[in-house]
Amino acid sequence: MRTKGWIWSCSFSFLLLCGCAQPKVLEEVGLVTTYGYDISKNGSILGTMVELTIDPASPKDVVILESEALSVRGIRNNANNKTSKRLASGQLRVIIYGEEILKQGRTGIAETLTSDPSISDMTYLAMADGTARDLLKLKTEHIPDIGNHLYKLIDQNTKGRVMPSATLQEVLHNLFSIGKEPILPILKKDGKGEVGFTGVALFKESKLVGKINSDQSFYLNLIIDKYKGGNKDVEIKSSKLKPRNQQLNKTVASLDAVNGSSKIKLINREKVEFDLDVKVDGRLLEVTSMIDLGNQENIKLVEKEITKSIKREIEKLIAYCQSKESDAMGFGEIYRSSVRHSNLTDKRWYKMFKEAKVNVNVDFSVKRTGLNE
Amino acid sequence: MKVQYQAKPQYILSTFILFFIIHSIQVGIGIQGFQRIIFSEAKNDSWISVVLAGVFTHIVVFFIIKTLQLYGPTDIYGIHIEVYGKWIGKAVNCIYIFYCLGMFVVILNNYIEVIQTWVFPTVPTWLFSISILLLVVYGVTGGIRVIAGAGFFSIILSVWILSFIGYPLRFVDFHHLLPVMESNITSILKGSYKMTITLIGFEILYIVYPFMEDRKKVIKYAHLGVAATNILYLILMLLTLSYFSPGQLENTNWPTLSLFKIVKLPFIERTEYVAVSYWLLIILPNLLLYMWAAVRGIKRSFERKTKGVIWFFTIFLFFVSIFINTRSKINQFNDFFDNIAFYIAFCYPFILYILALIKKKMTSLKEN
Repeated sequence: MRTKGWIWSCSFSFLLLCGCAQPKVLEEVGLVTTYGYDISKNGSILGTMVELTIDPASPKDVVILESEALSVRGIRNNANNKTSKRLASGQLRVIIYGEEILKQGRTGIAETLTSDPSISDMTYLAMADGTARDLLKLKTEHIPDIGNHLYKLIDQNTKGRVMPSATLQEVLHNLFSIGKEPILPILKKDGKGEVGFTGVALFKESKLVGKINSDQSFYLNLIIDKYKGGNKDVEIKSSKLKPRNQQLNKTVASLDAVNGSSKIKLINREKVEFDLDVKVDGRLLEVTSMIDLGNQENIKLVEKEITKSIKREIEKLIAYCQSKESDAMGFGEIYRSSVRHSNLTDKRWYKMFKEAKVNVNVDFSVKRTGLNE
Repeated sequence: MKVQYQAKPQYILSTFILFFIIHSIQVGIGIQGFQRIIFSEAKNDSWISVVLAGVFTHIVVFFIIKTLQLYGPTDIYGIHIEVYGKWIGKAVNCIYIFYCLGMFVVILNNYIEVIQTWVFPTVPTWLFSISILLLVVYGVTGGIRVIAGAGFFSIILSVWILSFIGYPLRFVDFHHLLPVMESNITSILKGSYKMTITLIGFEILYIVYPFMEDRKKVIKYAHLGVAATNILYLILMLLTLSYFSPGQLENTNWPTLSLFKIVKLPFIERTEYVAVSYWLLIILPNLLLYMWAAVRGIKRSFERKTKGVIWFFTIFLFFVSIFINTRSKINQFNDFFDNIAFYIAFCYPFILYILALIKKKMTSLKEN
């Protein structure tokens, strides 16, 4: 009995020693919620951090820190020299890249960050139109905390399927897979002091090669992911439909509750030919044309026209991606998984993708037309 | 010493506990990162390697039980003495004891490495080592019933971790698994070979066998335990292959833990920290069982009192564990024991069975 008690007390005293691990008291830690990475003039990395301070006495909740270093980790360490609180990145929500740093192909920053266990794989990545520093320095009346604002903005739009989802896990996943390239949403600060989603950045390997606008990003989303519950205005070019807006001479059909799914199939191995079947349906709420939607034939006509215009847009998007050699849709992945012993490499796929033929088939149907007919 | 060993009634275990013993000793440290090692050989067909290795394990377990059934209630130490004679038998027993201790060090050091990388980068190795070792001493002095209980509760209390599998499912891309059988058969077999350190542990059957209440049911529960492990590994392998892209998987040291990196619960933001700390409960039965096996070896072959042996081993293991403290040393040690474990756990049972069979035939001929 005595020896047992001895063992107990001994093991308990050692458990107390576990207090030797560095404690992180909330008041003494500066939580970095957003990182921004740019390239400085001499080629080193310029980091901008949004630090959230928990201090009831301080009037400001956020502090913007800047530092320059050669390594990604060095940025945080250098910034630490300037703060009264130890910086911790466990609450990191968003990472913003400047445009320049991506043009130089330094996406590898993300890879470095994942080797730090305190950073979550669900962190959002985005690209700033211009420099990340300018974007993070934005401060207006209705945006007191830019870090939180960006996080909420990206989170809301990603869940609402307006923006393509670009979490650390997804970007790295596509960066490291052969035959699929990552994409990043582009955030832009406009003159009035607002931030908005303006487009999607396309990559070749880790280099930024092209951009598409937010309108085309809908079609990209449609191909990449299962699409559920979004809104979209589709422009119709048809002689049969007379536009209401005579001035612009454009007809627009407004869709709501859009559901979409797509399927890519390799149909010719030698010539690399794909079938892309896109299935879309949704509610037709508005057509800016003098047309009676109560008439079944008119609905059919609108359906046909919308199908045509979706098809046109997707073909345009694919042609653009091909011209930039950026396979954001993952055709290469399909090729690799359906051809045995293809030994596909990124370099070979870029060439093949450029010459690949994609047959787009769109199947669009109007589910209903809302409350009115 | 006697070849047969009749356990005292107060140490007898219900046979169904064997399921928990086998499953808990197999699942431990290997599960955290086996995917990457196998992937480096078999690529997108790694799951076939897992299935093959699992089937092979069932065959080995079958032969282990066959060997034990030749002698009635006995353990491997008794069989060794019977097959090789007194002196060589004892020497072989020593090798087996060293193997158990080596596995103990592999598990201990890998776990300390994981906890230092993920949660406490500044806490020294000796502190973890000593706290875990004292826990093990406490458990092993409690005897086989305490250890079996630890195995039972380790499984029951960690089932909830399985529910996290749902989170990564949102990001899977099953195209990664295609085309099936792209790797050639040699690389798939090499992948299976790399499963060794993840699958071993079932050889504990050799030692717990005399403690089982109903030895006829041993076959059933032993195979159930191994099957549960195999299914778990297969699910994890498929999930990992489809969640990570090939390049990513090659760079991830502990894919299973990295899978948890995206789990976000309303009340706890980073679940993998909990999982890593909780893993102590999962590896504890492994440590207890290997230590107990080694101590039993000394007791059976040299008839020593166990208490002194436990403390001697503990101090010895403590010093070994603080010397192996960097990633590269741990890797070297792992690779070394990977080879040894393959021969001792997977190949040796066949040899032992044949030798035991021959010996049995010879004695029966002599008697006639």
